[in-house]
Amino acid sequence: MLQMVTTSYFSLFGGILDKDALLPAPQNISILSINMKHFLTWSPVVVPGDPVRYSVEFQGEYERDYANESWIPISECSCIIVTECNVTEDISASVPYNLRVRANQGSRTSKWSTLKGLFNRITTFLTPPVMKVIADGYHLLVELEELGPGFQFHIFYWRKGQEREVHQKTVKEISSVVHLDIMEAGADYCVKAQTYVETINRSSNFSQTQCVGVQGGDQTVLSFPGVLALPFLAWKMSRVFHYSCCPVVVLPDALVIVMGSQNKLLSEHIILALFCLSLPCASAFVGRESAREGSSSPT
Amino acid sequence: MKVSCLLCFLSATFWFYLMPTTGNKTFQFGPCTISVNVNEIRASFTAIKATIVSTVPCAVDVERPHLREIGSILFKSADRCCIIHHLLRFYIDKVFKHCETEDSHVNRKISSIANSFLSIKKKFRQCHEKNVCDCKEEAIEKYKQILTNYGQLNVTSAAMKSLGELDILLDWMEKIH
Repeated sequence: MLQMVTTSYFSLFGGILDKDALLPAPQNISILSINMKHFLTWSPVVVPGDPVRYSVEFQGEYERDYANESWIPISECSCIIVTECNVTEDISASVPYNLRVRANQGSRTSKWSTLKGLFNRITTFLTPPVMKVIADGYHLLVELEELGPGFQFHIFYWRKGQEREVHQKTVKEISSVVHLDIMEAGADYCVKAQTYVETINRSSNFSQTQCVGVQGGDQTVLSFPGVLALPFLAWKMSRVFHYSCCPVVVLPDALVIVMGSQNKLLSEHIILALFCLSLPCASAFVGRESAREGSSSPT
Repeated sequence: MKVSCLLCFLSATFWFYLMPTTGNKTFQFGPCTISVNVNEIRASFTAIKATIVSTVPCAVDVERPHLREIGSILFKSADRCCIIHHLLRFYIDKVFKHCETEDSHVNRKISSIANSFLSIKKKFRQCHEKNVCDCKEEAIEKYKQILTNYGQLNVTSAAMKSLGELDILLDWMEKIH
């Protein structure tokens, strides 16, 4: 009964009952080419019995025009069970290639089934890069998915609101994370990128724009020392100005004795005027002032 | 025997005027600006070098008496375009088709190099639609000499020898840049 069914099957599709007759050739040969990786696929040949195996050959323009239209077998895709063959290694020049596949089952083989139309790798579909924009403190970083040698990334970034000033960076070799710029606090930065393949001189569409700003936590950490430093600097500056222009000087002991404690303030002002005319000396008196303060305070 | 080295030296001019880039490199051959992916050719060649060299009989020896002479022509920018164009045709028409081996892997790599050369040749063809390379008498004479010498050799050996020296060209190119 089963034999009857299989016979009918063959009668329908090929009208061939002979055991040694040709197998049906694989159908729907197509090439899937994304990011310079090329895969030949085809529909399986469904026949009863042992598994059907497939073999693939290619023909470049050189073979077609200069080497007697010869075909070259792809050994990795010889007698395979799957209906897919990675032909990336052999589609290695930017010329039109032809590809063909045939089925075999034991001693039976099919006719070659050829790709409809030639394939040139320059038509490969380039996907926008998978990108992650990171704000690490004030550092604007971008992480790009590695696509292998021969792939470059054109990265465009700008400060949000300043779209006219777009910066560009080209990355030829991805080392996990790319540093783009130092960000200013309070501003958001936006990034988009596209893949570029120099071999075929083509670019992908842009990735979706991603924007980031200086992260709150990092900002606090970084600005905390600044908060402390500012009052310190202000105090220090006031001291410098104070020492430079209005030094507090101390009268020599002799004058103090002569003028007496009632007139001390007046005499100090007189001498201050003199010192403002000779600033370089001021610091020396300041030093003396601090030395004297300890000893003369009881008076 | 001189032929292969002459070819080698001539071919080296492929790589002579390269821009310092990693992928495609741009050559200026007279009026034609041609970009070539040198890395791809090198990768294919490196994969088969050992096999290719081992197939060349020892009798096919290396002689280089004419290198300087040929070089003096090649360094003239006016002749470079002509010589290179002829050399491309020479490799495509005569060398690669005689480089078939019993090793499928090697044949596939040779196919890769041959198709790469063909793509370069096509770029020349596009350029020539607008600008024609002038071939001066001296350059044509040298090319004819190459063809004559090549015809006197065992075709397969000469072809494999020429192919086997591809890395010398690439190395020379790297030195220049």
